[in-house]
Formats: sequence, C-alpha cells, structure tokens
Amino acid sequence: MTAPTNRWTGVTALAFAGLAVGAVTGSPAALLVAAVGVGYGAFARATSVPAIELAVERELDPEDPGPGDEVHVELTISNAGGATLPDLRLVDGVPNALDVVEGDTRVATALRPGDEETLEYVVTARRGRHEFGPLSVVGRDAAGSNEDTTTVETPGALTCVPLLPSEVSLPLRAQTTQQVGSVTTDAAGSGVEFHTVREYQAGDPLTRVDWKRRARTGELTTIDFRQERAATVVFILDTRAEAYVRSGDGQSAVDHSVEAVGALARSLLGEGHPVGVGSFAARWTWLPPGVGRDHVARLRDRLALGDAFSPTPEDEEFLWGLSLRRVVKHLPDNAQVVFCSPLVDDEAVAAARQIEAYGHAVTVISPDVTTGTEGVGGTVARLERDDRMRSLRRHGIRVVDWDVDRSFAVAAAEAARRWRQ
Amino acid sequence: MSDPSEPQGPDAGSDRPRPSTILTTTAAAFAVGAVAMNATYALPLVVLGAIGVTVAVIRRRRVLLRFGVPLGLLGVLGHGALGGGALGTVAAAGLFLFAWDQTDHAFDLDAQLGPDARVVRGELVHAAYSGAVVGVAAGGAVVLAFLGGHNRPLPALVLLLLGALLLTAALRER
Repeated sequence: MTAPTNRWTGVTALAFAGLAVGAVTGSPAALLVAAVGVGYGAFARATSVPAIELAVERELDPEDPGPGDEVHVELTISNAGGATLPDLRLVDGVPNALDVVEGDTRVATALRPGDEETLEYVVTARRGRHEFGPLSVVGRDAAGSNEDTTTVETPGALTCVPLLPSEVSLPLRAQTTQQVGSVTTDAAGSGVEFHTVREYQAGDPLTRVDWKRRARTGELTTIDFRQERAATVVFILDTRAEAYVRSGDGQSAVDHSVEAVGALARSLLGEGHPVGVGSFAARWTWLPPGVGRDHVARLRDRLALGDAFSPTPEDEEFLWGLSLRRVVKHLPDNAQVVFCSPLVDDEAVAAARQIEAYGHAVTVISPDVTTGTEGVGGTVARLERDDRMRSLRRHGIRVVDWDVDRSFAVAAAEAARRWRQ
Repeated sequence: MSDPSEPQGPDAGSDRPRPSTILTTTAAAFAVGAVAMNATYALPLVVLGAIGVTVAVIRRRRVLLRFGVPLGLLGVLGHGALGGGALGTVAAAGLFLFAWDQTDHAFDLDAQLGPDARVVRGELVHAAYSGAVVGVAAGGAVVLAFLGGHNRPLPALVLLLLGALLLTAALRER
C-alpha cells in the first residue's frame, strides 16, 4: 500500500516565501533561495517508490534447542526486482516469547538489484513452538515523499521441548481407582500399614493370620492392612491470560505451573498412577490420563507444545462457565485433580471449589509470583492471595503455597509435612 | 514481533554518533559560516536556527527541528533581502534544507525501527541522494544567477520560478 508521507510540504512554502521576499525587495538572492526550494520540491514530486520484490531466506541454528540455549538466526534479504530500492526499512517478525540477546532484528538499508542485506541475531530459546512472523517492509522513494508498506512471508519455527524436570512427590488425596498402587486408603485389605484385626474368615491368606494372637489366646484372627491403590490424577493448569503474571526471574506463573506438573507427573507415572493434563482457559489442551513410556513422551510434548500452555497469553475471550464445564466433562469419574494456579483472582478459587463439588478431590499448587513485588499494589495482591488460599483450605482443599524463588521440591516437602501433622 | 522501542543488539545504548547527527550538525555549522562570510542583521536568526537544528538532532526532539529550520530559513531569506551575497544565501538555504532532510529522515527511522536499529547504510544512502539534489538545485540557482540572471528583469525571474512551482505541483497531481 503506497501512501504519501507529506514530508516535503514545507519546501513549497519556502519557495513561495522566497518568491514573495524576492518580488517585494527586489533581491535576486531571495529568488535564488526560492529556486533551491523549487529544485528540492521537483525532486520530491518526481520520484516514486519502485516495486518492492524481495527474496528472503531464514536459517536457524539449532532448530530444536533446549530451554535457555542460544539460537542463531540469520535472515538473508535480497532485491529480486529490477529497480534499486533506495530506502528500505526491514523488521523481522521475532516471536514475542523469545528474547533477542545479541544482533539486529531491524535495519534501514538500500538495495540495488541483486544486492543482499543480512540480519543476524541470537535469541534465547523458551519452551514451546515459536513461529517467526513475516518480515515487515517499509520502502520509500529516494526523496522519502512516498511510502510503501508490505510484508514478506519468511517461514521458520523454533521448537523447544524441555525434558521433564526431576521427580517431586506429593501426597495424594484418598480418591483412588480399583487398581493396586501407592496411595494408602481407608479400605481394609492387603497392604503395608496396619488397619484392623478381625475374626478369621475362610479364604483369608495365611500370611495375614495373626499367629501370635493364635498362640497366646487360641483365637484365630486376620490382620487387615490399609489397601494401597492407584489414583488417577489430572493436572488442570490455570492458563487464562490473568495467570501469565511474571515473577522476578521473568518466568510467568504458567511456566512455573508447567515445571511443577512435569516434576509431579514424572513421579506419579513412575509409581504407576495414570496421569492426565488439561487447561482451564479459553484455549483448550487435553491429554487423557494414561500410563507407560509412550504416555510420558506424550505428556512431555503436550506440556511443551500444547496451545494452552504457550509461553504467551491467550487473546481469546475466556468464559468461566464454559471452560469449567469442559474440564469437568473430560475428567474421569474417579480422578482427583491437581489444580495449578497463581490464584490472582477469585475465578480460580471458584473453579477449584466447583471441581471439588463435582466429586473430584482437589489439591491446589499455587506458584507465588507476588513475592518481591513492591508498593501498595504488591501488598494488596499478596494479602488477597493469602485470603484465597485460606478460603480454599477452609473448604477442605489442600494448597501448596510455592514461593517460586525456592525450588518446587522444597515447597512440596513442606506441604507434605504440614498435611501429615 | 519484538518491540522496536526496546534496546537490542551490540550497538544498543552505543554513544557513537549516527551519520545523520554528524551531517546535520556539519551542515548547520556551514550554513552559519556561509551567512557569516558576508554578515547582515539576519545572522542571529540563522545562528538560532542552526542551534535549534543541532540540538534537535542531538537530543532527538522533533519539535526543535520544526522551529529551528523555519527560523534558519527565515534568517537566510532576510540575509538575501538585506543584501547578503547570493552565493552565501543559496548555500545556506541548501544546507538548511539538507540538514532538515537528514534529521527528519532519522526521526522517521527512529519511529519505525526504534532508536537502536542498524541504520548507518540507510542514512548514508539517503544523505547521498539528498546531497546530490541540494548540489544540483543550489548549483542550478547559482548558474541561473551568474549566467543569465543579471540581464533579465526581476519580474521575469519571478514568473519563471512561479512557473516551475506550478510544474512541480502538476507533477504531484499526475
């Protein structure tokens, strides 16, 4: 789209002023000033923007880095047209989530036919798939009196799938499946932890007969243990735009939630618990609960590349009721939920309570990104968050309060100790 | 797309002056010099205009450019009207226009690319075009003055320039 810049309007005024002064005073010098103005004006109006035909190539090295790795980006732009482009302004479409740590992503240049310009820069890789946007091009004629704005598609994507972090375990709530696992339940049967002693019934395994009591009193009794069963755990991450509040290290609460989910899921899958993951947001990502090596790989991919877990916030309209119904509809009947949210508003609290009300035992993991925030706003945010955690605990929901300046393992261990007391 | 206002790259925050800054301050200084060679009462206006342009390009203040260039050109016209030499007047006018073109171009680059983008080549090429135009325009004016202007009546010159103005306006409408 070509548009006039109108930057030369003043030169016409100069020419008229020179003419007027020259005519009134009879000064040839003033008339010559007008002549200079006319010359510039003629140049400005005689030029036009040549057709912008650019060939662009993008190279990324490496294309599949780990988080924090530096990726070298090289964009080669050549003038594929037949006319000289005297004034080109080029801006590369660097994905929002990537930080440029070195080099240039923007340049002003001029290109003769066949000439090349190179943009070289380095970005720090972050979790997710990052599509590079088109190259934005503004071309002007030599005088700068007209401007043509266009874009050139330069496909390229950087995919960063982090390994799951080290295992972190957290006591699960009592809601379990019928499969044998590691969650101690109130049901009596086989297991490790003592439950009750009852009268022997035909068919009881001999290993559970209380032989000492039999020798002492002659009574035949059977020892019951607390049954240990597997639990289906679904991680629901609060990935609404509101949850993208950032901590001091530049990581958003969603990034911290993904890290916590990775660590817990690895531990749970290792113990044989089916694990699934979903989002509470307008963007929907869902991985049904499962076990096994393939499921670990799927979970890792989903946490890294799932739309809803993107490092940048969504701009779709979020509807609380719709999103909650979608979550509940997908949850298996006996699944317990680990809800990850920074608890920045009451909607997150209401969602956790509602899921619990639907019969799913909920544990909340809340990365605290208010630590270190200053001023009255920060203090209010901290107090409100504390109040929300108290509200959840009053309703029987366990909360892990995670100060993100410390490791998640420490927060989980502290929470486990508190729950045992 | 990343935010153009954020400093980036190896030159981010660099104190090295840009070509536009060097060329503009030099042109403003030469404009003052051209007028001062045959000083008239208009010299203070030219000096003020030059200071305005210089501060504008150094401090990146477009508002100073908007006042500085018209003030300087007003001084140059006054210099011509008060009997300053034709050569000095034309040179000063051309240099002020050149300074304005460089600075305005640099401001536009800042607005579109951010202050830390790589712009040296773009600014130098623009300066080359602009310099060529000011050379041809000022040179043509001087040739007009010294070859034919002395023997022609003033109204004829005025009409000639008016015709040229109308022609450029017509070029714009084409």
